[in-house]
Amino acid sequence: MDFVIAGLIMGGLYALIAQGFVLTFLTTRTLNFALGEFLVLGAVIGMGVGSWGWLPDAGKVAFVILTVGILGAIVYRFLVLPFTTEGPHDARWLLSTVGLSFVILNLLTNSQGATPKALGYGGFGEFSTVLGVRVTTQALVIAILAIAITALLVLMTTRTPLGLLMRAVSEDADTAALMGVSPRRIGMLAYAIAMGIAALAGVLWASQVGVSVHMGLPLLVAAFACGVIGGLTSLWGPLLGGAIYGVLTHWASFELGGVWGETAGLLLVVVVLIFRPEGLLGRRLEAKL
Amino acid sequence: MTSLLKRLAGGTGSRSVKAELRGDVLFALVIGVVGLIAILPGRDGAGTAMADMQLVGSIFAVIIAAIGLNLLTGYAKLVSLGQGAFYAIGAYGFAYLFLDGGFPALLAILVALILSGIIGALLALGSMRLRGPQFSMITLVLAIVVERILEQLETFGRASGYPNPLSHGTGLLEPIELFGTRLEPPLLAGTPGNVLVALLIVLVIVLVLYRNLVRSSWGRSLRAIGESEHLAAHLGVNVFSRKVVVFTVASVLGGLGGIFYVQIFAHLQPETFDIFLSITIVLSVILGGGGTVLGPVIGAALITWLQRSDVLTSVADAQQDLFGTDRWYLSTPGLLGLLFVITLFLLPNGIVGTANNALRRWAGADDESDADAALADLEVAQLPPREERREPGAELLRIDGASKRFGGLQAVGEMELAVREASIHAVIGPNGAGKSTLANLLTGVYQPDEGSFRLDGVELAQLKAHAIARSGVARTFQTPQVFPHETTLENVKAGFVDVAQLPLWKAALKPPSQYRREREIHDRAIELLDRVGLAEDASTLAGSLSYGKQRALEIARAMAMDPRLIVLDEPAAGLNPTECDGLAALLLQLREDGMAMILVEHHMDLVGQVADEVTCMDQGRLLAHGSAEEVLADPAVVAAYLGVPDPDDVAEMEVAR
Amino acid sequence: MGRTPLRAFTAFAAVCALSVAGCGGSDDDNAGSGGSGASSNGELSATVGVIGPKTGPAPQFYETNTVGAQLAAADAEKQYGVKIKLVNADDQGTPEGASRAVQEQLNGGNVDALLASPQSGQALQTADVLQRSRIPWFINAQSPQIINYKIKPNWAFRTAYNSSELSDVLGPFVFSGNAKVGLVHSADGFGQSEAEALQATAKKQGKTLAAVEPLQPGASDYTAAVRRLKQAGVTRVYMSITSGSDTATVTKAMVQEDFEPDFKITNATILADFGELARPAQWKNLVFIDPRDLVDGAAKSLNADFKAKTGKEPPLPTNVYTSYMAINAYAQAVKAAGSTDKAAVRDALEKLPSIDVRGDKIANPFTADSHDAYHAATPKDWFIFGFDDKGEITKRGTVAEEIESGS
Repeated sequence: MDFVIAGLIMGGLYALIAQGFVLTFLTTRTLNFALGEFLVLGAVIGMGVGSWGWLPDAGKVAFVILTVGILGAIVYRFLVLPFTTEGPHDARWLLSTVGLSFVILNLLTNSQGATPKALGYGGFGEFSTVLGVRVTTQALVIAILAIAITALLVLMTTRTPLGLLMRAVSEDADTAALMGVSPRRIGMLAYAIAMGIAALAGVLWASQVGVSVHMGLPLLVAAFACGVIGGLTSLWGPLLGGAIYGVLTHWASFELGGVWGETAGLLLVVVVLIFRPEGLLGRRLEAKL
Repeated sequence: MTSLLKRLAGGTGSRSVKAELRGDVLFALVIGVVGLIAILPGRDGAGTAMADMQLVGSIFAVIIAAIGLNLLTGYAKLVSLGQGAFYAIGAYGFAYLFLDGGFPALLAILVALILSGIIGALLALGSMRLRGPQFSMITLVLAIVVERILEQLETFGRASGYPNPLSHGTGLLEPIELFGTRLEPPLLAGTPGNVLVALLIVLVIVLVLYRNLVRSSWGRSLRAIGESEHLAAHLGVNVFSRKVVVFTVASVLGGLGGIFYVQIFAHLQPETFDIFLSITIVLSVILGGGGTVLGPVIGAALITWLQRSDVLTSVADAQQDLFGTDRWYLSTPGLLGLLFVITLFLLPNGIVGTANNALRRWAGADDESDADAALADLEVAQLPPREERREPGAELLRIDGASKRFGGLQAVGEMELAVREASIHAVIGPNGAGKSTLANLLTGVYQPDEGSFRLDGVELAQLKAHAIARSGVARTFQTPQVFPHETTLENVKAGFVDVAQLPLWKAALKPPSQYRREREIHDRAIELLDRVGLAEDASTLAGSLSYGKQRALEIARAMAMDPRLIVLDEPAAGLNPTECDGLAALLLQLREDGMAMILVEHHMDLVGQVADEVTCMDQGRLLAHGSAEEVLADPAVVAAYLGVPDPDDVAEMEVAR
Repeated sequence: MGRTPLRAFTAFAAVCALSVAGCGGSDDDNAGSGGSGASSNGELSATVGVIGPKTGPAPQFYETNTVGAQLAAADAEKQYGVKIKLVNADDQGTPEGASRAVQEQLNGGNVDALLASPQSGQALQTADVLQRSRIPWFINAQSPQIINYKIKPNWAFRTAYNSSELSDVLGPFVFSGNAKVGLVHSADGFGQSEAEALQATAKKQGKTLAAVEPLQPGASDYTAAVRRLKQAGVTRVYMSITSGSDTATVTKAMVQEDFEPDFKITNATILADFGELARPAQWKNLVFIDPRDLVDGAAKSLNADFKAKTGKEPPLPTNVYTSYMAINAYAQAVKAAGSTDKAAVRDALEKLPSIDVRGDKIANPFTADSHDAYHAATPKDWFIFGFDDKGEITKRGTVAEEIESGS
């Protein structure tokens, strides 16, 4: 049973990051493959503002979320949107964001060095006990945040006028545009929120493991896997995907050994893609004739 | 000179078989000579040339992997992040079979290639329903898992590399021996890396085969899949199996790239085959120009060179001097990423694609008369008519009891319809009457719940779209579906049965009969364009044609299939009156030629003008049938048209969900 | 479409031409930088190529190796009157890049000796080529396989301990008594080679490892593996981990899982980043062993000089030390040989009485049979260290003393 609790808690981190994929995919049908680097960017900026003694820690985290969120909106406007113009098969955005990830990663490696550094704030203490299982408080907080943020996003998209607009754009961007909704602005907003969430995850996780330019890639792969398993078109998808992926990788690490955990999770992704490409909670998208 | 360039740029000037052959030989020669110049500095094994010879060898290897990926990503538009995995499988597979397996070199190469192909085919079978990010994900997973296996599997020496002193007593693979010659890698000064000569020969052969392939009808099928899988299926292409085959071919080429790599470096480390290798290969394809013959070749050469040489290092240093900081600057990986993003902005079709377009524009603007002259010289090769075609008036198609439900909606119910040879059968009805659904049932977009669709006695009901197309049913679409980035002529060429049926080996080897066949296709396509009034626009990009001309183009493409029946789905939609008259004349002329057609249409003038028989549908059911006058005068028909709209469109939206 | 534009051909040709021309140019640059041997005023001078991952994902290896070499070169000129010119080369952190860097250094750089890539993947890719190229080359990576002793004469000289030597020292210590020993190792070249070496040592002593748990570098969580250690009843853990940040992840998981072995032992890689990221509970019962006296020896002054030069603590202090050793050994050998003649220097290296790192002496580092500087080391030569409450390194004595005290 221990591995279930431990897996679920780790799944929370992946789910939170995966939300950064789902939110943008839902509204714009695009993903930011530089998401891992945005995570790192959040942590690095978080470290940069660490010395601002006048700002309380929560303020620092808010500053990071805001800054990275704005960067996310800019990235959508200038690096994603221009590469979606050729119809549904246009995948140039995938390439432009991969290119961007190279640039950010390299810039941060050159400027910050490749060795990890302590963030120094944003921690929530050492360990907590959940149903008799000891977990790090930080991971627990992140998992709770993942649930809370998912619930908030669902409420926002179903109960607020803004959410209605987002859903309209996600259903049919062209028609929404005719009705006076700007898909571009909605897309920028979705990217801003998504990258803000990634930055939050980056800061909180870095507070436990340190700020390292290399923390992005493994988390990106895990989060992408969770998104795909749960379904990229469902806001609840990341939580389900994260839970399954977290428990499975934990179980496999325990039963088969450390290095096979991730591999087991990735093989599950393959199985899901083969038998249910839209993910467990996702909707089937078919091209109209 | 101008005309030569124009020919190379893809003008419409019809090329004789001889000119085509000359072009092909020229290609092989130029590639061979360029490659030879590149490996020349290493001929005497001078130490100073060693690093560059390794670079050239790397370039050869990445070119091979990149052209494979180009088939998949450039043409079929499936972005794979797993090409590096096949590179690794080829490299480790060969090395293991050769050293531990004791296989003769050529056999080891062959088996390693087959292994890459099998793994590619298996992955393809699993992933063929996927597109976009999901497809990229599954290939990314492959890349990560393969890297993990190389790191962990004792057999391959794990992080100690392969071969390694502990298991093999040496860290370097012995060079392979062919015809008594040791093919030395460019590793030790004083020993000429003559393996490069062998690699160059293989490279030229592979490039020639690859070029033949993508320029053939087989290549056209990949473009069609890249543009729209639905459309490709209606052109008769078995999309599923073709995607599996192209993935397999791409994997084999990826594996061959890896085999090249071993010949040059003679030692494998798992670190080489990380995810960035796959991304580098994608970069090469996109930077050079996906979907162009030479794009990945140029791209691979450029990227590999930039990655390994000192050029970008000096750029990094320059930045530090310029900005006065040793922290905030980009070094090689970052500069490559930046270059990539800039390429996407400035050269959306890559270096070669953009050059191609510029050249085409220049050649097209040059002078028009040349193209016309080409048409004038044309000796039209008349293709023999289909043998099965029977006399006019005989029943060709019979639909009986066709039904289709979408959820709770009866979109089509117990419909019946018959079409005769050399006649036009119009299907009319109010919006949402189920006309388009009927057309989609007939052409295999949906499977009917019940009913039979017999074409000259052959049941079509349970066939897939591509099989129906191959049985002789061609179609056009409500919104014209053309390949916007291809010329009008190429669009028509995509309609020929060869696109679906040309065997891979024939496309790649290009035997003499294939030269003649390409010539036939070319001539016949021009003739068809002439038939629909698009002869002047042969070299225009289809995307820039007017709506009306795109319709005509679709019809010409449908004709290219030499079908027994054409299903026209609202061809008059969006046409102005003049264009509409032109369409009527064209349809009548096609009927004269003996073509049978189903015309799903709203436009009553057109129906009155051309239809031999008219069937009116309402709420998915047969309402009236007879001559145009009879049906249009039928009170039930009039009432239906004045009545309430019906759930057809809603139903289709449901499906789309 | 489909038709191939002639321009593209031209472009391709141009690229190839450029590539050849461009690279040729860089070779010329390097060629101009050489010039070794005895200069006009009788002073000995030599050129040594230093290869490292300047633009790779782990540039700290490049930085520590180049700075360590510089410190040694400066000292060597004063100590031995041998002027050593260092030429740095970037292996880009990839095997292919390393291969290129090595070729450029060997054939265009006009170097008299090389300090090869400090990362095992890159070193392994180029090792046999270097061995066959008949040039003295130094290595400070730990994988035993980097030096292929089957190639004779042997031109490689390792200034770090290798994994087998570490295990030989470690073996009597961890396997003493009825301890159940568990191993945690990074799933990379470094960790794998130590795992193999320790398993070999265990076999020699008739023991078995109770658990062997690999660790994916950069893993975010290690609790599952710690539970496996716990389940196996492990009482002593040896951690062979490439980076201190991963050691922090592992020890954190141990605290989280309430897993308290009698002691946790590791090596000096813990000095990279562990202190920055770990909390006191994580270094309880944690010790590490090293053949160098990191508290009272020369390491302190090297670290201080590194900081003076770069403005920060060395990210990999032991690499500064071992690259210093390489240049020191080479300078002495050149002096002994009286020239930079490669074969003469090679022979001189085999006869070198000791390597001198600012007073730390490594005696008889190389022999005709062994080119591993620590081949002669025994538990009494190695030190054992721990951390105090503030996370400062404390020396507990030699490994031999520790074994005697029966911990």
